[in-house]
Amino acid sequence: MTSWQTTTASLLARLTVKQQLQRDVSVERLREQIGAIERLFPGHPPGFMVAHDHPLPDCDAEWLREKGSSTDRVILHFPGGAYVVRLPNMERAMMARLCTAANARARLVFYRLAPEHPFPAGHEDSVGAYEQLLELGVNPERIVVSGISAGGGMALAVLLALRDRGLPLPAGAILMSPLTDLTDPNDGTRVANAVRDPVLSHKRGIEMRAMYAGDSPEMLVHPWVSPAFGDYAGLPPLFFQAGSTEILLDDSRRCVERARAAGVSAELEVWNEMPHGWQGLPFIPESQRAIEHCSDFVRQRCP
Amino acid sequence: MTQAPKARPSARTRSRAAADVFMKLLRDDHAGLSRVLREIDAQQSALTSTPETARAVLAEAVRYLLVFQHSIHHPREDLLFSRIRDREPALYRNIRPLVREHRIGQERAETLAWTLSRATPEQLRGKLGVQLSRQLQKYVEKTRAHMRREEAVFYTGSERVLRSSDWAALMAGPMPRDPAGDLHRLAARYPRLAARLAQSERMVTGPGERAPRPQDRPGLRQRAEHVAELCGEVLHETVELARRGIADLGAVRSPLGLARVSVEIGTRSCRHAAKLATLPFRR
Repeated sequence: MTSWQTTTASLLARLTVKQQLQRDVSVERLREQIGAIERLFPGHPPGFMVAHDHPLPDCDAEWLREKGSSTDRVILHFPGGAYVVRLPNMERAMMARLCTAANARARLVFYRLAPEHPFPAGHEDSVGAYEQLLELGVNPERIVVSGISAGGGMALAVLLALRDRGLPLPAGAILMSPLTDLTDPNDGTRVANAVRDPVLSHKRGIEMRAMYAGDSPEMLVHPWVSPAFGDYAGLPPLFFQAGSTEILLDDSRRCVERARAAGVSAELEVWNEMPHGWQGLPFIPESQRAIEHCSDFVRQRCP
Repeated sequence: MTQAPKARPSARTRSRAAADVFMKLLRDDHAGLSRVLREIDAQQSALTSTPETARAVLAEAVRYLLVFQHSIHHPREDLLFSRIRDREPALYRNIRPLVREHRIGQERAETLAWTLSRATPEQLRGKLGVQLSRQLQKYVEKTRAHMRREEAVFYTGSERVLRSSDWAALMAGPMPRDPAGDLHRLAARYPRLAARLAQSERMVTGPGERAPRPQDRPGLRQRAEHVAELCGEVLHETVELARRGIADLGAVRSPLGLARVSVEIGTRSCRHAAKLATLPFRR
């Protein structure tokens, strides 16, 4: 059975976050309201060191490492938030748990957000962060990229760009409920799960995507904007997780189909009744279980 | 033109190369094990709801643990540990608990295999299934923690401590590869496990939970979600209305202004009440 913690979290999200996301409020107000969730998380995960070495030219980035640990595994993480909002404390806490489980250190890239910085600003920041890791001498075989929600879409878009530019690719990618199709399709789980999804709403999707990528249909199907339209040939193994009641479930399914059709190893774990972004909620037992599955993938790809 | 003779690799280089090969073998074993642990964790929660399929996969997964991880991988590590003990007893003190964990892990896996082979589907649907599911979950947790400790303790230490003769001795015996690293090889011995690992999409449920089927009708939970959605909408609109009313009242500077604001608040409230009353019909 779904845990009582998940049921409670889903109900609270349905009454608060989902309502905020479907209301016509300004981006500033939305950031303020969603940012209230940040108070649930410590700014600094206990037992971890947060370092700001190796700054990036246009955006913030930080290293997260468990005190006393020594490892060469690196998880390059892209946070979520529909490309317009951000929850850094929540992302940091989630990555701390993943680092502990996978015996890795993480590089969090807070790429620039829309509407102040529309595409390709955030994408360039993210590709630049990977290139910086290579310049620092990190072996690409010891890097796994990861992302949650819009960050998952960004992670895929980064992989496609790296492949297109002929750069050495990382060992794998973890995509947690990724947003991979900004054309906002009016079918599949976007519609079927519209009521069941306790977090995300279909209502402001068009407005949000316009902030990030504009309204041009050509731009919206560009693989670096909507990786669901990409050619996956040559990408490293991909590991997707999504909840069964999420509106974004089909985004993952389509990517897995395309990847496997291109001969890429890709698998999707569909977690029954889990709300969007459950991996980031440490107080629900299924979150730690999902993080452990991600850590298994990291160990599998970077043994 | 005479060619300069190729320099033979030094003993240090040879030692380093042997260390790399041996350590890569251990790391690859951990990679295969991680893949299988993820599957065991997914299957253990389905043991009570779909015992027939879950048991078939779990039985093969546990057999893989006994045949490869406990009979080949751990003895391989134990050999390395014994070399470390001879070279640096201080480091070995940190390693000793790992040797004990190998033994305990094997005993646990044997018990799991025995129980899985004897339990009937009816028993697995009941108390035994719940117990077995917990034992499998515990096994997975302990094994992950064990791998983390191994990575922290000896992955780097052994390369520092051991000499070229040690690596040569470690490399002398047969070096079977982990079948979990290659699905075709895995399928030859563990077909159900391999078939499961090859799937593009897998459902992960909570303990005892059945994966939903397309023919399932919307249950009480879905209706409750729908009601909660409506309540959330109403609640937010009411809060928004109240906030606007308070802001308007705060801006009042004259009795005439108060009258105008009162009328506005009244009108808005009536409109909101009408909207609420018709909301269920509009849905």
